[in-house]
Order: sequence, then structure tokens, then C-alpha cells
Amino acid sequence: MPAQTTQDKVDASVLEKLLAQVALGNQNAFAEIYKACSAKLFSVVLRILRNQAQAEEVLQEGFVRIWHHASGYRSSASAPMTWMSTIMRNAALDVVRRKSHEDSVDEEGSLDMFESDAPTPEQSVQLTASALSLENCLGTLPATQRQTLVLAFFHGLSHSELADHLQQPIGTIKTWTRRGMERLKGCLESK
Amino acid sequence: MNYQDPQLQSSLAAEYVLGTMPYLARLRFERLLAADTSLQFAVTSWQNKLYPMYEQIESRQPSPRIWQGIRSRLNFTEPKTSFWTRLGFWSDLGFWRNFAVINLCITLAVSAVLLNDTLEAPAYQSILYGRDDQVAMLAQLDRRLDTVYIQVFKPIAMGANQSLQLWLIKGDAQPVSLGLIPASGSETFHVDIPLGDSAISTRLAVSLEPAGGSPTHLPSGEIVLDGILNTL
Repeated sequence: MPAQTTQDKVDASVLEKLLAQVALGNQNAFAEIYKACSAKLFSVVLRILRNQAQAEEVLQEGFVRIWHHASGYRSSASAPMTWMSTIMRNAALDVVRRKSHEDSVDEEGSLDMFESDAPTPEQSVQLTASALSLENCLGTLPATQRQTLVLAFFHGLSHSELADHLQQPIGTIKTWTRRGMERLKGCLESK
Repeated sequence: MNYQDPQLQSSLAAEYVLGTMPYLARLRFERLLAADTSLQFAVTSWQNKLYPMYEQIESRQPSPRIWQGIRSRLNFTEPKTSFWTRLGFWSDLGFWRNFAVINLCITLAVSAVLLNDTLEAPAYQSILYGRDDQVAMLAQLDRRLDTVYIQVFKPIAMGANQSLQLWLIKGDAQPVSLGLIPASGSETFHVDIPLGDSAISTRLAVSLEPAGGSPTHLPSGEIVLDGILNTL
């Protein structure tokens, strides 16, 4: 049985208030944010790092950053989950990009792990209006562009990793991502 | 390259938010980003477009030791032990240490309740603990927070002229009475007070009150049970 607690059902306005309290050094508010958001954020970093131990390290680092930078959160710019996801994504991408920069040799074997590029949807999940229009707009893209964007976003793949995985020249991948993002933007902004 | 060109800013921001930028380009971009508000705007705009994708991913519970690690890295204070303070301290180490146990209890309790079929569609649930830290009571609320089902596992000790009163405490707000409860057995009752629709950071507590309930509309006697309200 999936023993979900308050995860996934988090009201943005509640999180905003909690973040404001965290900015003032309120440890209880921080604990509540952790309880409400850690499982979702863990899933975000785990998809990029694909390694439990590394993902836990990054999750920990991400929450330390959230604690220190909560006063920099602006509710006018983005939702609390967006802000926290950015912190987690950046921490995770730092790790994978630095690693592939240092290695500079891609481990081809590890790329076989993305056969299913779509997220596993939770049956009961109720999507917000922006998630629904994003899904609609992604649906209007050619399959190649959609697959490239989804792989890049969820798994943090670079252009060269995408090229390896999709067995296409890097130039094609760059064109797919650029065109895909342009079309996506056009579609989302026309709504 | 003219980094003020909105078209270029948007496509760089797109690549950055999508995550495809190579390591050095990423570092360079972040340096530009720190000093350029229109670039920050382009990035935020892309984040707001793409992040709704995360609504569909499944959550994964990290190990409870991660929270302990965060607390210790941030030099958080040790939890206090007074009962009222503890109500606000479900976040303490003890709670996380017992997290697995609590989850198990919830699972067991849910199975028990499902068998009894007492509240058709419970949306929130709390396992309340006594002063001896033993599971003492289960409380469930429906989605509108207006129907409460309680099941007392272990009879609650009280005097002849006393009543037990159940409270809902949302964050730092004042406790709201959910009504009087029996010292043993189970009961389903309706709550008239509007409680709002969010149960995040909400706790339930039971206090010992004079017969008929607290005269002050706030807990006036000793808190004998408390627990966190979870979303089912």
C-alpha cells in the first residue's frame, strides 16, 4: 500500500507561508516543508542521477540550500515547488554535468535505462490547468521532438547523451530540441 | 554575441531549463544569469512552462536518515520534551526515527478500519499517541473535514466529572474543537465548524476537560493524546 502522507497534495499558498517562516529561521516550518515535498523532490533528483546514494546526497544538499536561500524566494516569480525543484535540478545537474565533463567519455551502457521516457503517471493524480495544457501542447509536437524534450527534462541528458541514446547525429538532436521548445512555447503562449 | 537579444535570451534560457547545456556553458550561463534580470525572467518563464511535467511523476520516499543528516548539517537544536511543545515537534528526531513504525501502524489501522467499513471515504487520518507513546486512538476525517470517525484502541483514563475533547490544530493557529469523544469504543460524528480544505501541518489532540467540554473553547486541561493528521 502506498503510504502517502501529505505529499503530492500540497497547497502552494501553504508552502509559500512555510517558506516565509523558513526565511526567518523557523525549524518547524522547514520540517513541514521537508515532510510535504521531500518525496516528490527526491523523485526529481533520482530521475537525473539514477543512483540512490547520490540522489540522497543531492537531496540533502538541496534542502540545505533551501534553508539558506529561503529569503530569496519570490512568490511573484514562481510557485514554491518550482523554486525548490529548480534548486534540486541544479544540484543534480551540477553533479552529472561535472562528472561527464571530467570523464569526457560517455558510459554508453548506462544510457539503456531510458526505454520508457514518459513519466509513470499516478492514476489518481489531478493535474493543474498548466500541466494539462503542457500535456496537450507536448501532444502536438512530432514524436521525435517530444521524446527528446521529455528525455532531456526528466533525465537531465545532454545533447551528446541524447544523440547516443536516440542514435542520431548531434546536429539533429539540437534541431529537435530547439524546434520542439519553440513550438512548445508557441503553443503554450497561444492558450 | 548580443546577450540582450530577447530571442537569444529565450533560447539560451530554454536550453538551460531543459538541462541540455554542457557543464562549462552552464557555468557561464549562471554567471550571466546572476546579473541579468531579463535573463532571469526568461528562465523563470521557461520553468513555469516545463515544471508542470513534474506533477505526473511518482513520489519516492527518501530514507529517514536524510532528514537527520540535514538537521545535523544545519546544527538544528534538539527537540524539547514538554507536551505542548512536542505537539509542534512532530519534526523531531524521534518522529523520524519512528517514521517506519508509524507508517506500519497507519497501514495496520487502515486495514482494520477498512474491514469495519466505518467512514465511506476517509481523506485524512491521524494516529494519536498517549503520554506513554503508545498508539491510543485512530481518527479519520472525510474530504470536507466535516465527518469524523474515531476509534479508541485503549480506554482513556479520566475522572467521573471529566470529558474528553478532540481538537484540530492547524499550524500555529488556535486549536478548534471537534467535539467530545468517548473514553473507549468508536464513534462517527459531524463537525459544524468550517475547517477549510487543507490538512497540511495539522495535528489532532485530545484534552481532559470539565464535564461537557472546555469552558474557554480552547484546551484548558491536560493533553492526553496527540497525533499528526496525514492525507490518505
